[in-house]
Amino acid sequence: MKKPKALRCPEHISWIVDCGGLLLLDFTGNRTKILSCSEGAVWDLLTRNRPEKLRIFMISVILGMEMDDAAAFLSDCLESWLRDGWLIPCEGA
Amino acid sequence: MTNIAITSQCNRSCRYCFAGSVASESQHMDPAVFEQALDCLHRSGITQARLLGGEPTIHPRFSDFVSAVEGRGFDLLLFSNGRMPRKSIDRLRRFPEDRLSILINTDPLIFGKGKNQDRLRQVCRAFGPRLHLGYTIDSPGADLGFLLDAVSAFGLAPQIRLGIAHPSPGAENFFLHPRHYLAVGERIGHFLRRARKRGIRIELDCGFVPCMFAEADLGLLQEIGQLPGLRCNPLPDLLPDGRLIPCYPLARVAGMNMDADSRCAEVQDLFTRKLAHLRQAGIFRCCNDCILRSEGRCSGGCLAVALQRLRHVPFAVPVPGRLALSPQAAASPCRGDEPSDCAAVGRPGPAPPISWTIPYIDQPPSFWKQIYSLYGNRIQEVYCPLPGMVLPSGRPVQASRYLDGFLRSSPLPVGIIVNPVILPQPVDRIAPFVIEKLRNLQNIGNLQGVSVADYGLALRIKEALPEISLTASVLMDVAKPQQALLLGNLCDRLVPSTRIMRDKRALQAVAEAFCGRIRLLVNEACVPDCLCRTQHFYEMAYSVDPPLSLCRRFLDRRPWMRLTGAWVLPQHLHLFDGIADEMKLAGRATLQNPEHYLQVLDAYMTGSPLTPDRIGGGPASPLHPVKIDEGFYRATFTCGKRCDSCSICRDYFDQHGMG
Repeated sequence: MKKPKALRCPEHISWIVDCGGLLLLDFTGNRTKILSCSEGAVWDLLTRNRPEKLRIFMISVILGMEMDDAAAFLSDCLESWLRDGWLIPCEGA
Repeated sequence: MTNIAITSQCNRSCRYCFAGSVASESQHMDPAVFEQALDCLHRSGITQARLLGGEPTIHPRFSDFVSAVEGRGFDLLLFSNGRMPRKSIDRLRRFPEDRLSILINTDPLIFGKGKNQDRLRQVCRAFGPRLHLGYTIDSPGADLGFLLDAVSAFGLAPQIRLGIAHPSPGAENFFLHPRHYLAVGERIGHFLRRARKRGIRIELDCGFVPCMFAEADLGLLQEIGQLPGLRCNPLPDLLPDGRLIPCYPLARVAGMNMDADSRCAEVQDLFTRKLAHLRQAGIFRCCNDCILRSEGRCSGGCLAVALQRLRHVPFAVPVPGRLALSPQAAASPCRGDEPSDCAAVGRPGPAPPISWTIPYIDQPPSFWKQIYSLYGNRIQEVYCPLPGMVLPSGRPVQASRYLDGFLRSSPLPVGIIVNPVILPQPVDRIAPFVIEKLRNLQNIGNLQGVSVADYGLALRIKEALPEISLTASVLMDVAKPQQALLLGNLCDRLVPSTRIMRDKRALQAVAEAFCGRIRLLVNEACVPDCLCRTQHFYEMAYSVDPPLSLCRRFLDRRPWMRLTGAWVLPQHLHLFDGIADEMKLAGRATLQNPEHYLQVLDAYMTGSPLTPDRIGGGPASPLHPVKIDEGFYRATFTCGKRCDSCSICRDYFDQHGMG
């Protein structure tokens, strides 16, 4: 199986920004997930379709991390969201 | 299930009506379905049949339905707009008085002139104490006083039901935004006191929340058993085609067909469970931190309103090298419910239709209704200057015959621009007047946002009215990432300077540096770095006779420069994908002809081709129709703007005989 190049958010998942973080809602799975402010910031950055380098830079600025730590945090977030089905893999072009 | 919608037809067209969300296959309920509905009520131990619509009394079998209700021993509660056909009135008058209640949802026109109003008053007089009034609040400026007068004038039941207009996905109806709840709560507080003096009881329908009321008013509501906060637990509605829904605004979230065993409590329980996970969302950002909610005293308001806050934008994220995908995850790319061509990294799926901000021109309400019916919620704002000449805008003073009415009852959200290129006085002197005026507008109409050209004024507005959405106007002239950083998160939106509209790299840099949304102004034809720009906009704002053109002096000498203007033609909007979050049309001065306005708007909405002389771009526009090839536009979008050493535009100008 070819390894996907990208992850994306399924159509049936939406989100709401709340003062305590970000609430993910799955309309078909009847489930929700509350993201902390840090994770919510990462999710919000993903939705802006910014280049990866800029994304990592902004995470490092927002969360006060070194660039390597920001990259690792981003990676951890993606892994967890992929595992739980909040993101799904897509084939590369 | 106690609400039986026997028809989806109505003889009114209230702007807040939420019934349009439901595409019912049969407009009128079949008598057999109605019998099933009564069976279901009977099975469920319910003694009252509640008929609604549409307008239920225009159902051709209405009299038969009423007879069935009467014959089977049910009480009848009828929801109506009061415009009942004569034969329906006659049938209702024969219904046993002690078992009949009628709720008329009305408006101040109950005291107006006309055939419909006469009929409404007839109905009020005919049913007197068996009839009580209801009113749906869809604007913070709603005047409730007429309801008290109507109760007295027609001898109606001393009971008034107030509702909030809720959003209904698919209906594109007018609804009360939660930002107005506080103002509405204050009005209701006054109204409660006046009603109490006249011995009239107030009932609150679903969706009211405690935080919209002052403590003292909550006390009054508690006294009459109307403490708000937990009424978003609707009794299901049965549609004319036999489908059951939790309520109209949530019709697209949950639904089921009625069957021979349906019982109301079970259906309600099923809907409650189906919607439970969505209830974590409240109508305000702070609902999840609210003590009333944590103590179970508020459910977070109307769920349909809360779901309005939902976002979904397509995005794709490259898989980082360090991310290990599980075999299962890697083996399940793009499920069947996903668009298949969306997989490329950095190329998200099809974007939702982009929203537009459009200029106010002085046209009667029918013009705006037409736009609303054509484009609905794709129109984010209709923008106009602050009325009353408190502060000029970036354009000459326009006609304003219809402006006041528009601001009070526009079917479309309103944006206000306070963006003269230079303020006439220091901010500290001007700001209080501007803020006061905006506050008034907020109270009377559907004010959505404010565009500001001055940073200091933006700060003052933000401090005073934090709930208003702020846009950094194109006249703030933000053209560099450093400027976007300076702006920080003061504004929710930024309209980048027209100086960089034809410079893809510069636009991208500003978009990346700005933390909010990017709104692109597409039809202003100013030449980038025009030497006359500031003076031109100053004179437009403050002169009695605004200049037709100042740039003409140099454009006459270099006419090909008209091809370098900041315009984007409708057919080339796609070149801005990934940069623009939303779009804006200029034209308060140049698109005053309503036909031309609609042509241009439609072209931009649909991507239909236009030539640059037709878009209302102002004095620097090309003077004659010229077809702009995408290849040419694409080249000038990325050319680096070295017009001194480049001949692309000059050559195109010559080749197309524009000289």
